[in-house]
Amino acid sequence: MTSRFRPILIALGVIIAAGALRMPMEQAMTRDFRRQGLLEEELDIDVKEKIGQNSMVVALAGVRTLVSSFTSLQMTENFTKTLWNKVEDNAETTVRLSPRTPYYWDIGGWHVGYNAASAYRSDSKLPKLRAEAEARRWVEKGRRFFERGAHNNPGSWRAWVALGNFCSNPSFFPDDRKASEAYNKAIETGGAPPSIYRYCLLAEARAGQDPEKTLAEVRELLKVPENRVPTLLCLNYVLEAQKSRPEDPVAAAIANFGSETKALRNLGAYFTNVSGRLPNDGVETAIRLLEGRAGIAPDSPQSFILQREKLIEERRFTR
Amino acid sequence: MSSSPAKNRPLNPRRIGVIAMHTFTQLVRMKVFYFLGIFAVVLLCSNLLNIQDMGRPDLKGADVLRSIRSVSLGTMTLFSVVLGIVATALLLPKDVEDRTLYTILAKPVPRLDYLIGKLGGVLMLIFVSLVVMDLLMTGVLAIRSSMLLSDQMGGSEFASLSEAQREALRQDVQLQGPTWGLHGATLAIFLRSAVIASTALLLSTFSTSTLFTTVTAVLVYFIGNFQAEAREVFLAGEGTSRLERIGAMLLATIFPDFKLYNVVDSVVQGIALPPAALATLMGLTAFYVVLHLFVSWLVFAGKEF
Repeated sequence: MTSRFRPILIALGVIIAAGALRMPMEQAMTRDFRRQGLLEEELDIDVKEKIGQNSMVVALAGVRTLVSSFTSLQMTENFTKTLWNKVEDNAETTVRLSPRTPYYWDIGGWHVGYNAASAYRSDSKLPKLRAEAEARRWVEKGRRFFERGAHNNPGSWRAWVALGNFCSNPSFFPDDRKASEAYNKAIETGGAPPSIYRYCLLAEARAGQDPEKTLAEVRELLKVPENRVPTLLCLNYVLEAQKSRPEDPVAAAIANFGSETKALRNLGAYFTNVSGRLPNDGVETAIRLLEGRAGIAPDSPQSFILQREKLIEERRFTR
Repeated sequence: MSSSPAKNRPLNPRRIGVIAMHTFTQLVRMKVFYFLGIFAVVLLCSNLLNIQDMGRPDLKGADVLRSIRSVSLGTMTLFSVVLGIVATALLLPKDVEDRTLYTILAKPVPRLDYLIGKLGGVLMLIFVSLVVMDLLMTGVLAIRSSMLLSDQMGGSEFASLSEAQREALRQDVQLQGPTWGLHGATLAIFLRSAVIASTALLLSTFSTSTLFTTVTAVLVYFIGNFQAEAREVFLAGEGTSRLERIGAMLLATIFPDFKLYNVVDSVVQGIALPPAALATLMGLTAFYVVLHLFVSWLVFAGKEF
């Protein structure tokens, strides 16, 4: 060995020896950082293809979130052009680059689930059945997107609420059982605002799962003055009626709402909220009796019974 | 008793400080700080990246703060890596070209001190640049988040929200605004650039061409971002050939692991950077810098000019 190459070989030897020394340490650090959520998993091959060569280089240069900001902007641009397949691709790429940003899951699900589905449903160029099938397909995609978002961010109440809201939405083939599960998960995170407790109970009531348990939870929630909102008071009335039909519905309504006027107003609004899909046990009887006492004739435009019938008729017509 | 042996002793802080300051001044005179103007423009542009807010009051405006964080930290990463590579790659060839190196080495300056001083100057430049960029980012974020907060707390869309919801919203905005985690991320960016700068210094002791050092250092940086995969191939054992394992082992031992510094991304996503993680990264950076300096010295000590 010539003296010229000796230092280079020694240098290489030192580097390899030091590398062997640090390798297990770095492996442990990588594992630890990934466990703490500080480092992302590797990018899939298909993501590398989607983001393109240049972006991939930038993403690999330690600026994945920068690239995800730009793909999110691209998603917005494609949304304004209603290019739904591209929107879906952008949404996928964005969340794979930044899987721990609930906002990206939220906005991606909103575009894929709500916007694309609505656009296909109202597309006059498509036959009605085809439009509905396409809408359903995009709703399924949107639901899967929200589900993945929630599972990737189990500690984010927003991600679970986004899933719950989507599953509760009457326009997007609702799944109340799934919605109540999602709201419950949001509550388990400990950060959800009080309104989510109410959403959760409404979803449970819609799903009709264990009314006894739901009633107990509603009563617990009503102990807090902030929660004494009309919908929850009405739900309390309905669940009590489900448990045992009241002998005197008017007295039960007054006990629940405070006065006949309040009872009629609140139960009436609840009853005419057709899209709310809430259980109605005992409500119609109570409204008929209360309207009778208030001097509202069954064929009067003020009658909530008549208003509901009209709304149902309108919905049938528009569908 | 003569005092000359003491003067020649390596690792003299004063001597290293003088070389570092001289290197810093030399780089400042090369007008490298102009890129701060570009950073300011990028930062201002990131204020305009307005992604749809879905018509939900709780999301209104928050995306702008995320854009500012993401674009600023991304730009800081790119600038500091480029600066670390180019500034270091320039140093030795420029000193040879200007013949400054001969006058320095003719004096009782140990070569190790010279190398440490040169790297110190580059790191000082990167540090000052990052501090300025961090201040700019923090200032813009502070202004934007306070604007957003006053908009949300006084806006009619938010009037129907309960006090608890408003408080949750306020906390969310504050989390996206200027936080200590952001300064931690800036520190992690500095640590990454310190490793790439020391790598470039090591490469420049092998070569005398700025271009070769720059191109090779860029390649090392990208390969260093795949280092974790190489390590996993080597450690996996099953399903890989002997040749693949040897290749992976060489990659994993020779190249620094730059992927570990990608914890910066988690800060952009709103995850707090624990001090323990930062301390670990600092330890790892110190290991790399000392190793690269030592190996650079091994090569540089025997080099004839």
